[in-house]
Amino acid sequence: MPSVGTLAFDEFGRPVIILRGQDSKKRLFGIEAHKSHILAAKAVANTLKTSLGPRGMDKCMVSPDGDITITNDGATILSMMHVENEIGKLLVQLSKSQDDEIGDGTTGVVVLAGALLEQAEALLDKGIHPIRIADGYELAAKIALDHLDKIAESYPLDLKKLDPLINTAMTTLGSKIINRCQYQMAEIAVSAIMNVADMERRDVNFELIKVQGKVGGRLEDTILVKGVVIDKTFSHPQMPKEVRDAKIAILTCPFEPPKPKTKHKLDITNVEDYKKLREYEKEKFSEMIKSIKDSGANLVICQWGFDDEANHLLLSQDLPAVRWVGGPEIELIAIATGGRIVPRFQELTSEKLGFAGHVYELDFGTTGDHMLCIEKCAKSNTCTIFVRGGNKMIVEEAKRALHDALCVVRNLVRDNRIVYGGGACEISCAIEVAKEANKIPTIEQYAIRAFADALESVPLALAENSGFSPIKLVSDVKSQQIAQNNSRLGIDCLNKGTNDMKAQSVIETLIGKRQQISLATQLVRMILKIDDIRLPAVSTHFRLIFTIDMGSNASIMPQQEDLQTICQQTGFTAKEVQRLYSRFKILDKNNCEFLTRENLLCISEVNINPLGKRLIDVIMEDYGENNKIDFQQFIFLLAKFRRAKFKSSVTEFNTRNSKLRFLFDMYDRNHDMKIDRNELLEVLKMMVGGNVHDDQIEMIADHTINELDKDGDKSITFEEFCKTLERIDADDKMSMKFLT
Amino acid sequence: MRGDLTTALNPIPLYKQGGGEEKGEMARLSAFAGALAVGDLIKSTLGPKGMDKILQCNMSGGPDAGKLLVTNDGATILSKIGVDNPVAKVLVDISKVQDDEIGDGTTSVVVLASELLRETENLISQKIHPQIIISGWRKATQEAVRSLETVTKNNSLNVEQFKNDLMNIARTTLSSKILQGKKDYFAKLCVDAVLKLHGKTDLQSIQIIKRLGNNMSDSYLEEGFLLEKRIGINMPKRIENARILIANTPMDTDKIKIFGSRVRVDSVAKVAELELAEKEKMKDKVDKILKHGCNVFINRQLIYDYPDQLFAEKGVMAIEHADFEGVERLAQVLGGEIISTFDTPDKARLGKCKLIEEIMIGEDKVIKFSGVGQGEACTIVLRGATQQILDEAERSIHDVLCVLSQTVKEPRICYGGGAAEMLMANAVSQLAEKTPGKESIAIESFSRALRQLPTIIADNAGYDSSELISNLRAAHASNKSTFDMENGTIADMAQLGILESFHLKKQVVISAAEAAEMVLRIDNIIRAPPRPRQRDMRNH
Repeated sequence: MPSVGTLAFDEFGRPVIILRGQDSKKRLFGIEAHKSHILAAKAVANTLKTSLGPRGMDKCMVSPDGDITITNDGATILSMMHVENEIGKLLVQLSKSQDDEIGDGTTGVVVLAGALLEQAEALLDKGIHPIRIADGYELAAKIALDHLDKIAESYPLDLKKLDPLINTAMTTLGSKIINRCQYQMAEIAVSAIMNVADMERRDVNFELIKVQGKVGGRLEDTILVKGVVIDKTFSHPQMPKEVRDAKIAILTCPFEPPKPKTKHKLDITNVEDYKKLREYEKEKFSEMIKSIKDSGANLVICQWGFDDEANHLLLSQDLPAVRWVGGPEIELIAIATGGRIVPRFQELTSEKLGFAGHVYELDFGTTGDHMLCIEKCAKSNTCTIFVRGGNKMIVEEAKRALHDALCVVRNLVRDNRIVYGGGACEISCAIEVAKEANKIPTIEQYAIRAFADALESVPLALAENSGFSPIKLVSDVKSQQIAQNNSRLGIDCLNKGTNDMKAQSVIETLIGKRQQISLATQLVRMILKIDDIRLPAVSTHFRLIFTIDMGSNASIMPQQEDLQTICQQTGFTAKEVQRLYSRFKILDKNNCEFLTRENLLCISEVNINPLGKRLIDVIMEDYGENNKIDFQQFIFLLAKFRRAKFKSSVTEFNTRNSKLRFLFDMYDRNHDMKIDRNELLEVLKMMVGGNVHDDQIEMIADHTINELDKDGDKSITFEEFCKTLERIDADDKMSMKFLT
Repeated sequence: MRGDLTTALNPIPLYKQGGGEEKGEMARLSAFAGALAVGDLIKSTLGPKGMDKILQCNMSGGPDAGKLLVTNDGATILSKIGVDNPVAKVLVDISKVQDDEIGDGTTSVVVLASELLRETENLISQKIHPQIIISGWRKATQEAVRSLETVTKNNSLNVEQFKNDLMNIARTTLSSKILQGKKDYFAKLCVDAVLKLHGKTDLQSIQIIKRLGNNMSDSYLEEGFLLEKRIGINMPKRIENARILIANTPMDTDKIKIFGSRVRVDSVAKVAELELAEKEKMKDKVDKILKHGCNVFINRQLIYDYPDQLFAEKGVMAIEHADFEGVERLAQVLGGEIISTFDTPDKARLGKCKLIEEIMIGEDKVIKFSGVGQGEACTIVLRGATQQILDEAERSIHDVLCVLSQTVKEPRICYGGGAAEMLMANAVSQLAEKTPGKESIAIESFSRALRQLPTIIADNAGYDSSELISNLRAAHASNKSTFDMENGTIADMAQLGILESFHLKKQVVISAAEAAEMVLRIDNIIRAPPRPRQRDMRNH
């Protein structure tokens, strides 16, 4: 363990204790590392736990720029949490990969991983080697996955009867804020998927579904547009707002004078050139328009901008046009309308045009916003879900929720096996894993049993979030499952009166669940295998501040002869002494030419300083007499804090040694010229207050003494103390500015 | 935020420095505190006797530095105060959406949402789960909207009656604004303007021009269109039966746009020749424009001296630098095309109007187009003593126009003055009585929150709200009546003619419930560390 505590002073003479050396690296290993990983993972999982299930709560995320996101989606929460801890980051990755792969269950996977790690902690305490735990988990995961396959049911996938699919989508949407219009949203998601699903290949191309949001209206106004919606309008305000039977030219070349890519110069040397160029330019524009007109198009969609002239030419030729349409949208339009993206005007032919039955502008509210809606396309399988909602956050959240629902339905199309949700399949797996555990002869048995317990964390969290007594309910369900041999029993979160998840139609996809278990296990294995972690150190400063305000009030002169002696001895100028005296008089509330403890405590900086009392102790005992300090003693004390930058300003008071001595005295209260463990402890406790546990302070103290103590007497001598602070510019740190 | 501390003295900071998390009760507390603070802030502006706020922009910099704003408009107030509380931001957002969507009711929606949350505080302390409250609220919202729907009236078929309704709505909306003294006058102004749109919600063709000076009753509705530009020198200042060409074309020097071209000559003579060619090109262009047979030429871009002079010679009025919106609006109003090429004079559609003349408003000259073809356009000229009054008047007029145009679209109306809220509150209370389970408490709280709106209106007017509201509640059992703000008594809103748009009321209830629900669902507030400020190097 490197240096734990060093004392330093900042430029105002305020002592700062630096835990851990600044230039050394942090390193953790062994059981310590495991424990710290588990703690971090637990913290992340606990944050997410309350979002699980239909009764889960939302999180409000404040971004670095102060924007607000309110969400219930595990992956989104984690990605916006700005987790710094390394293990925390792994969990973020975990939920992200679940999101990429399955799209749903991102919260569940993190909760499961957290529970697995929590169980591992208990096993580690029992003295089981992490690798054995990891192996046990691996075995258990295999048992659980096999069991899942066994209890999975094949689900009817019928294009005519969408209800079962809608039920699944509803399970996913149940936990989101949009569950108010759960059915409508689920229906939209299902019909969107069915619209683009390729039943032959059993796959769904997500590129064909776009989710577009627009603030305003209500959630109920959300619609599925079988076509494309883009956030653009016609380029000229006088173009018709509606085109029927549009033949669309999709261009990726700008309506601008040609701009060759190679570097060139075109010099105009005489009037003819000028005129010719003018003609050429004009020709170019009419050529462009003509080529479009010739192809038979009656709508132009362009990725780039138009020149004013081109824009007007288009208008006068009755060619409505849309400009600055983004790349992905252009592609989507091309796919939807069956058109080809044309990069050059010359290549435009009538076969390359896309077709849409109805293109029109949508208006919203009072702001004059418009959107362009392209419907009845040639290839009708692209669709856009157009989300409306009362505010920005709800629209964003609805978009995320719909994405999850879409993913789930897609997964069903890919693989129509399902398991029952509401914790039913987790409980069933837990029972199975626990049963199998007893058959394992080796130490792994414990790990497998722990795995079974961890599996129950999901139904436990569900029950807890729904406001039930979690342990009682889960054990009830568990015993029922065994008694009835029915793996469909789960937690009745919504109080519907039955805990048969089939009756409630709470359905989850098999691949989603499988993925959750295997991803979580994988990650936990990985974390358990890390036993050493190094990272650049972060220094934690505990700052202790003591400054003595030098005041600025009117002056009362001390005795002339006193003044001279004082100046000689301390190196203060007469003016400084004068000012210090006035300060002294201000502090001296009783007007008796000396300061008491109470007077010093009135200095607010001293009062709030955790070491303030100690500081006064030092001042009173070492510099004053009988708990009083008079002006002469006061000024000798302050002389220690004069700057000693130049030889001439050095006096017996402000040498480096005497400055450090003052510090040393702060610790060494029995004046034996040694700081022993108890003295150090006392000061540390004062410094950190109640924030740090006593055990930890003791460890800091032990570490500090071990490190600084060179002669092995378990205490720090003044020489050792000075050596520690060797590199610190005591003069700089322990000086203050005296006003004149 | 400090991370957890382990045994081994290794603090585990989960979040980056500066980031952190508030959990459970703490989060809920800070959420409620934010919402209530925003609600209380804006509450006093509600109703016909609501007060205004002065907003002073940051003095330290920015374009509005030190500008004063006096307003009563909820959305404007909230958009100008920088709130830090995440939940307060949600409320600011709903008021903005309400403004975009309906244009008015921006205060009510925030106040209702915050009242709902105030009720929740009680429920939560009774240990009722937020999710139960939410499901209760959903039922309550449905019931409220349904009950409101039953009392709506639709007079859109009877034109006279409908116009009367619109007047009443405009008057109701205006009564809480600065224009209330002249509300009949402005209501008529706005209704006339909106009726000219023939059912369109696009407010673009209603232009509002603000001019300092005189007093507010000198504001008027100008038939036709006003353009805040000057006519070039030496040009006719008045043209009857104008044929107007609206263009968007460079009239300085028509640059060659082909990339990379530049002029390179070896003698001064050639420069002169080129200059001549350029000039000739411009002359060609002007000739072409004149061939359209127009006697007014309006361009979005600059018109240089030379073409200006050419136009003047031909007796054509040329107006330069009409901004983009102005040009679009002009084109719409005059029924012309915005033209950028001039080779096909026969195809180009010119704008027409009976008379163009320069008139004075206060001290400024503006160009007035009267007798325009489409007849949809009109201009409201606002006069007022100070800039603040003018700004506030413009916002009020905008609100009224928005509400009116939305009402034309969705012509159902309901009663204002707290009648609608009371009606919904009573319906929701009845639902609460019928509903079994804990949800009933939540539903009851919803009706209490609804009842708060008339209470606040009465409070703001300085009446004994508890007395009035209970009387009102009793009176509501039999008929739709609510209190008279002038006399502090209960009166029949149908007789007083205090009407509001159904669409507006519905949206207020729905958005407020949605926002409150959203806030209620939060149990964790997670803060990312603030982005470190980059030093601004632009000035160095």
